[in-house]
Amino acid sequence: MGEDMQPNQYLQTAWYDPSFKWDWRTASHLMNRAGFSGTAQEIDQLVALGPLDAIQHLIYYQSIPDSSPYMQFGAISDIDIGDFRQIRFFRDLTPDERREFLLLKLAAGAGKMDDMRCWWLNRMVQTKRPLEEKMTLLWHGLFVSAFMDVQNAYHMYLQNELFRRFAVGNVQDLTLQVSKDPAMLRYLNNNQNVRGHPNENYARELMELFTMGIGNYTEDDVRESARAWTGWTFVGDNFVFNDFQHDYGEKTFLGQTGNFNGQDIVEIIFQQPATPRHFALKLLQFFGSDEPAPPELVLALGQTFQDENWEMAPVLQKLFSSTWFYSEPVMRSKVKTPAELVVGSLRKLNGSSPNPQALLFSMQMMGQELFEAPNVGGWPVGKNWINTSTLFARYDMPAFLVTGRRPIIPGSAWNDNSPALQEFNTQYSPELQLAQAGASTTNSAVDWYIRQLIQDSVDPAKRSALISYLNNSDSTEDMPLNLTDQSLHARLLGLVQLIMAMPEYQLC
Amino acid sequence: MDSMHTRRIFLARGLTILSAASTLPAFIQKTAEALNNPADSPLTQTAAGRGDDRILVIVQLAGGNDGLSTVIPVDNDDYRNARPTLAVTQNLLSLGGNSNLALHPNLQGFKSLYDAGQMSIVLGAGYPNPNRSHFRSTEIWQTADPVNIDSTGWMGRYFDAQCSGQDPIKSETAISIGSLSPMTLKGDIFQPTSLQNPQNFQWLLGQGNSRQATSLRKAYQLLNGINPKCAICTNTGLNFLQRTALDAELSGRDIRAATEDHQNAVSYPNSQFANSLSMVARMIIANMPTRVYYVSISGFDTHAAQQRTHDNLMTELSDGLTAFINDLKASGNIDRTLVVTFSEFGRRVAENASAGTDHGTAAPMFVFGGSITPGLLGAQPSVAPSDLSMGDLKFTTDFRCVYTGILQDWLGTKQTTEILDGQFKPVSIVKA
Repeated sequence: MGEDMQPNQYLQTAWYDPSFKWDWRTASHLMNRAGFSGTAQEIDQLVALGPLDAIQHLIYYQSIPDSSPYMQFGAISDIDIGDFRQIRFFRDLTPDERREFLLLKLAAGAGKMDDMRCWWLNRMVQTKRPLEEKMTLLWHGLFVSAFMDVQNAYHMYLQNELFRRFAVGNVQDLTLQVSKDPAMLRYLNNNQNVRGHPNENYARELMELFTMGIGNYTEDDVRESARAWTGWTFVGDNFVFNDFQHDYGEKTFLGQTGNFNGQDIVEIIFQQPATPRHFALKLLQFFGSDEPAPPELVLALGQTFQDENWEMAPVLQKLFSSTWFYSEPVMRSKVKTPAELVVGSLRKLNGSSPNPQALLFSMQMMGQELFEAPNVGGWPVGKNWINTSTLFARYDMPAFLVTGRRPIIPGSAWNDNSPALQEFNTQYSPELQLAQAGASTTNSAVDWYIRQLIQDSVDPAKRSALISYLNNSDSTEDMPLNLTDQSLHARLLGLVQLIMAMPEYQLC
Repeated sequence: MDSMHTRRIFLARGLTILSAASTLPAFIQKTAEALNNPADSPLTQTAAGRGDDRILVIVQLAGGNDGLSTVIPVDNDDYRNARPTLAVTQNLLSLGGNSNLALHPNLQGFKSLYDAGQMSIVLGAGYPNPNRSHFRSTEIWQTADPVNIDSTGWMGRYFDAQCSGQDPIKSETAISIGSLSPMTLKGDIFQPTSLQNPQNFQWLLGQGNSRQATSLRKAYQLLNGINPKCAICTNTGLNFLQRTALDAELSGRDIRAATEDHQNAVSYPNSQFANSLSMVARMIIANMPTRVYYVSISGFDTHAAQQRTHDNLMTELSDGLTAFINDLKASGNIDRTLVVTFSEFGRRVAENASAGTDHGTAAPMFVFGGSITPGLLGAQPSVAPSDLSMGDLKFTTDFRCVYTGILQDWLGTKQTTEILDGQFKPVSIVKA
């Protein structure tokens, strides 16, 4: 389906069109977008299922056992740096001791956050329910809270599990739960929003960034709804409604007047025409295209949200089945987010999950430190991930994957020998993958890796450059590969890293 | 400049990554000439005809700096009433004269620069119908367009306007420090260079002289090479990525050389902000062809328990920038450098119940340099309740008047109206 699609065709079921092909290319596209890219076997499996079963297999994942790792939290009291200011022990310390104690606590929390980042990356790599983690990532980037302000690793974890629980669940219910979530209450200061002196932070961002979008409410709506959110706070790890701090007065919000509380605010927000449009826009951008979706499509998918009573699963099925989703302007057009790049690469290389600690540094350089979105607006989109700085970070990342180390720069004082990086040593074997694939010549090895990693044809001049590299000459002749030759290993690892350092590899 | 000379300069500047010089697009050739012969360059030609090496450093205070805890109304009851716990009243650094204004006590470095005539403050900077969203308001300051959603920044459009035909200006003409590049510097055609640290600013695998490294590098160049048909100016998908790869390669060596081979003349405090500034100072000292640098400091969104956070930010801001200015002074670069700060908004005049402040409107901008008009520029907005609009300050200087002063009097462009999509009376921030 080309660019001549009519607006009324956008959400039509793609395979009703006889020209639609369900094959390696379309199945890997579904896997890239609904998950984190697939291994050859996973894509073959989806092709065999046919489009409808493949989509339902991804969306209705509850019957698939959750075999991926759980977070081991240990002593939670060790990492909460929020509430102990009250305790007597702390009051007895000198200012310097307090400072040191706080820094220690903060470091412990930060260390726990690194553990959580590794844990989540591992889940994304290992899960048999890729859409569950992909949706968790979507919610994480939409209902933003950052550890820097929350300062409680356990609360960040609870929020992450909330997103996972509601991954394909009801959007309105999730919004209400998010409003009661300790990490969110702290992040947007609603725990300090009290009668008489409302703190507007949560009230504003809930409408502007989470549910409706700017321009669909007034400053008065911000002020009035902030009053409705007064007294919504938390104690320990739990939501608490503080009756005494709640403003029971009458509020006028989005044209309705009453003695509203937070739940009423959510209900009113979900009656607004802007809300389905906002979520449709976010969904189309996240799964479809970095460029703004056509307004007719936004409207139509928004209508689906309303028709389905804000249940996510049927909306996703509509989207993943749609003609638009498989249209040329959408296929292979999205800039991979750092998480997609790293997790997808790991999955494609061997599907195993080495300690991803070393990858955290790499992701930070690419601009994505999970649980630490740059601001309440969430992660960048599309081209905004790409600049001269992040591009090198992306091109250097594969070295971590295939060697476990940052490449050594001869003669540079900067060579890193830190133990954390040395420990990470993958057993990636290109020889094994190529042998399994039956690729025994230089041309077939290059073609196999292009198909596996780029999933599309590339400029013939670039293919030639890769073959010449593998031949170790200027020739593009199809030479036999002796996969048992030890001296070939470094060259094959180089080939993988070269393909991953192509502009084409940054797109999916 | 003859072509042999151009080619020699290319090699000297480390552009040998381009395996076949004959396939060079014209713009790269022109850029190299421009870099080495500034007087010929359309980039550096100015209205006054100066062969100019002036530098602009833009500092973003991200999150919305509380202007009223930065430049403080002295002995002002309205201020104290609005800020029962947050009013800053002790150890103020008076700005003298009849202004009744003082600096936050932690801005000691700023005070000394102010006294030395190397700092000015534009008071009450803002814009009509202020927006209180971080994102929209940041976008407004960066695009200089409070009405329409624009995808180019005011400096990006400045560079686009310098661009002749379709040949873009070299990316390292504007450099931002950080992992994301700010809208301010992005044009339709022009794309800035961003970097976090110089050591990581290269494709590491292909470095070195081993046979393997050489063959990797050769393949890398072909895979990320210049396709003359698509290297020009298109900003979508693959072309955008391809061009960014080229920009990165071209800028990388210059920047590493500049930051590794040059020393700061003063020591800097230990903060990320100060580290960024020290890196910028080394690039200025190295005489990079860069005209605009962009650095940011974040954490100003102080909705709760503001005082300690804001006090620390004032220290970080003042100590970092003061070291930077002193570095430029010591290295003889201060007269050709102008530093300007901005924040997306100030904060609500009345504090909230969490000993913090919510999103507000107008706030001061700081200007530094050896060629600036020192002192206070514009008028401080009144904090009297009857003078506020929805509890917020009314701006007194449109920030686009500051931009006009910069574009016209510092960068010397005649195209200010076109760049800002309107005429604004320039604030005279540059010494006449």
